[in-house]
Amino acid sequence: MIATLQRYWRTGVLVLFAGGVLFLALGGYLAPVVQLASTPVIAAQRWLATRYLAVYQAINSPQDMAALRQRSALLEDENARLRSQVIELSEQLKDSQFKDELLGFARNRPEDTYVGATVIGRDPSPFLHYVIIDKGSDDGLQHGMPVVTAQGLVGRIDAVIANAARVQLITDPGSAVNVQLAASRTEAMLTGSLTGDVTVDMVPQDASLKPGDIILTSALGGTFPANILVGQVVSVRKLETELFQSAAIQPAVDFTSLRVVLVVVDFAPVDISPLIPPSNP
Amino acid sequence: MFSALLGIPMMLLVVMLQTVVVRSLPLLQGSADLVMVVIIAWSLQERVEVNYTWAIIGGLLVGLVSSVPWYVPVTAYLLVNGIANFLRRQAWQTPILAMILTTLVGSIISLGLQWAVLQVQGIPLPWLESFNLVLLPTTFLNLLLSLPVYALITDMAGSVYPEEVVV
Repeated sequence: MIATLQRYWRTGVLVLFAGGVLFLALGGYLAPVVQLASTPVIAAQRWLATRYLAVYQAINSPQDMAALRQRSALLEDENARLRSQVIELSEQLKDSQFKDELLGFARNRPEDTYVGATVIGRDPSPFLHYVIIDKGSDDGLQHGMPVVTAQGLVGRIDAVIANAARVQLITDPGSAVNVQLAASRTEAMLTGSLTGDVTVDMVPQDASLKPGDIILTSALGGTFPANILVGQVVSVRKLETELFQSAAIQPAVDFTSLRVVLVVVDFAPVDISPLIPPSNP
Repeated sequence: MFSALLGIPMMLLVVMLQTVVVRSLPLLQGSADLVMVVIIAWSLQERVEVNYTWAIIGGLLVGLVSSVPWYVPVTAYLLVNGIANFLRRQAWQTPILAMILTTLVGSIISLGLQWAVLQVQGIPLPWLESFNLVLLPTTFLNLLLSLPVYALITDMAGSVYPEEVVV
């Protein structure tokens, strides 16, 4: 019995100690001791964790930067693509608005047949005012056909090949168009100039001509259909010593931004040159 | 032969640029003559032996597109080519000077010829307006274009006709 007690008393003491400690812990009596013991451990762990995080970021952050830069470049590309798409769509919108205007013009003049054409170039010579359009004899275009826009008269076809044509603008120095004053139906002659300014000449002195008057085409001479808007009188030049009065005209068409035009394909110009008597020497 | 073969696509491209881009960038009533400037720059290249083909091709293409009679640009560009060849022999050490001088004289010849022929055709072109609003700005624009075009054409001629190395 004594031998058995001597053998197990240490174990019993240990069990009693453990039970006591457990009892104290469950009772909350060991909290200050645990806190005192854990504080340096936690501080050490925090220090280690902070240093580890710093090292981890130092190792991994260049990859993140590269990924961010790549992402940024992708977004910039996307942005540029969308911007160009916006520009393209706004151009298409302008084109469609312009075509709508042309369509409206064509509907208002159902007696004529039109072919739409895009302006693709200008005459290389700075002395002349011609444009090149992308429709030609394959589309039914012929020499002399009138060219218009929704705003008014542009000019007439000067030369044609299979898939392109050259148009002489009314601003060309060699251009001469028979016109009439809308109010009084007085006939006159519209001429272009080197500077692109348009003038009405050959207006009789007794005719009423004042700023704001509307100028329309005249059927005289057979080169243009009648009553197409040409422009508006800006200023009048009237001298008693001259046979005729003249006026500067603001054309209805903006020739600097000419992009799409309509060719009147069912109008056949009349060649009256055989009827003109030859000039005597 | 090679110069002529190269001249056809090159002049087509230049004439397209002239009608679409250059003519849309006027100064007063004038605009640069890119075709003429390219012809001058090509004519001044030392390694190019037969250089009048570009003048003929360019002149014919401009004559086809323009309302000016076809023989006007052909004659003008051939004259300009002749002047460039003459100056290349006289001032061979200063090609930039020859380029500027030929552009100046070429602009006057080309526009003067156009003006004279159009006048004969009955197109009213007042000479003072033509001089102030067309000739002066066009010459100025041609001179502005001459140096970059010369640099480009020299690079192109260098790649087309590489320098022979004597071993």
